[in-house]
Amino acid sequence: MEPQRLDELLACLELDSNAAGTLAGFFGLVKSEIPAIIDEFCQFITRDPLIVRRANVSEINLHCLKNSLVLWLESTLSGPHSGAAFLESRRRIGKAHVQIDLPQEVMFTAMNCIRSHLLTFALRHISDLKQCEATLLSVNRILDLELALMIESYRVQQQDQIKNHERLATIGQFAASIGHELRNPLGTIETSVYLMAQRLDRLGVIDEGMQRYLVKARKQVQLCSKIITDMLELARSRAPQRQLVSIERVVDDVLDGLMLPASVIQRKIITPNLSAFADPGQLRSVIANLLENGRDAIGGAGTLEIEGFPAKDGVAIRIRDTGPGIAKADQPRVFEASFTTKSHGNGLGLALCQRIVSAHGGTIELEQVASGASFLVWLPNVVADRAGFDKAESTD
Amino acid sequence: MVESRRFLVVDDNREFAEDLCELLALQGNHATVAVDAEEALQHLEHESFHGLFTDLRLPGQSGVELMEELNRRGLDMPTVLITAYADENVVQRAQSAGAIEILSKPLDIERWLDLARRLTISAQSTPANDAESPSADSEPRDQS
Repeated sequence: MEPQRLDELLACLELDSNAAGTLAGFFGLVKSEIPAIIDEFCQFITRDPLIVRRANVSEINLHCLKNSLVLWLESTLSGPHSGAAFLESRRRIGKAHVQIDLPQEVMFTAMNCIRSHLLTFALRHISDLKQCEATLLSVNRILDLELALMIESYRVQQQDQIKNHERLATIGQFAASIGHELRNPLGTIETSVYLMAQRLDRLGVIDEGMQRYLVKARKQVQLCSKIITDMLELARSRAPQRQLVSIERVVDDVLDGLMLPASVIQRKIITPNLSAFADPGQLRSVIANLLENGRDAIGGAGTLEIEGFPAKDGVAIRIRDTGPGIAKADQPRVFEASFTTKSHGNGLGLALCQRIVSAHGGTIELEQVASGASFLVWLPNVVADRAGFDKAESTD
Repeated sequence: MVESRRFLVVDDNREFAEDLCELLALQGNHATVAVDAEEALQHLEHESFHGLFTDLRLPGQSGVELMEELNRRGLDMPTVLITAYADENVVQRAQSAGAIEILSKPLDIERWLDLARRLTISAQSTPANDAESPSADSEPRDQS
């Protein structure tokens, strides 16, 4: 939101210096109660299974959520209610809501929960009728402002996200058509290189240099082919064809093809009979990409760990390596298409993983670990009815 | 000894088609190039072939349409579809039209050569448009 629009809104809601003064006075009274209000608020929101799933509510992030909500409510009452820092902090809240795809109706009910707590507190603790009336009015108005900002920043963020998706879809279609076109000349290079090798053989030419060049050329053709396949898969975003898939079987299948050197210790801890309701090919692709990244990060020697366990109405798969890890500055970008830290990577692998996991209604995250890199994939047992994804499914 | 077999290779990328013909020739077969379905049908009117390798995307009629046309004309011969554009619909349609295999470009050449060898052995000595009801004994296989 533009600062000018905020000023208009403040004027419209009559949130002037008098109101700010009233709120600051009320803040002094209610300050010690704020953590309790937020506690109750959190109990309220965690009763809603949709919020729990979307916001990925766990013990750890509930603690973080409470802390940031306390800070938010304190700043709402104490002010200031204008300026770049205020707008930026509200923009970030909107962004967080879009990221978890929080339904807008939840914002109203959640704000109402905070509102009723604050109003009840004011009614109970302010005996002066005029003062109480002014406080109720100011609290209502400031929460209206917060709600307006929240909805506005949600709308702006969501529009940005839609634009970004559309842009990616256009680039994807374009890339797909180029990819297809490139397969034809690549096919000819492949057959010609093969014929060249055959011809040299027939002519009895034994030339190590020539052999090396031909092997190199064939390897590069295969690499191009792999890039095109990844790119097409990324652009195609095929809806998952779900079935019950044994996690252990998929992991074993990928590990078989990975050809890890003996110097890499492989640790596999998978809950017996663990299975996910997923597209087998797509799930394999996710696990293969993560394990290949782990293998490449480790280099010569280290440990590659694969865990699989039931988690929160679904299945979690953690893939962790003892490589150098991902630099803090690079972490926010790891899932972007074309971002890579590898000298020979095409940067499509993790973007593809994220695309697949999202299409399954799941999440993939880079975990904060002391050393190495750790990726956690979570796939739900039942998929929420969500635009762009499949309808809710069951295993029947 | 396996006799020489005649194959038709249809691809609008002439260089690619010529490479395939050369590979088939190295196996002791004879192969002819056609760059579209129309030229392929002209060849088929005048010559007989033991098998067909066709690209999917061709100017005019597609590779699958060519296969369907051959079925209508009763020219049932072992056919392999080679494509840079395989998706599930294409795979399904090509299989219904009788493709014994659908291969992606760039080719896995060893696999292709193996397939060509099997075709050569299984192809009946009388080519398609000379025989009553010729067919390869290879079972249709899924693309893997």
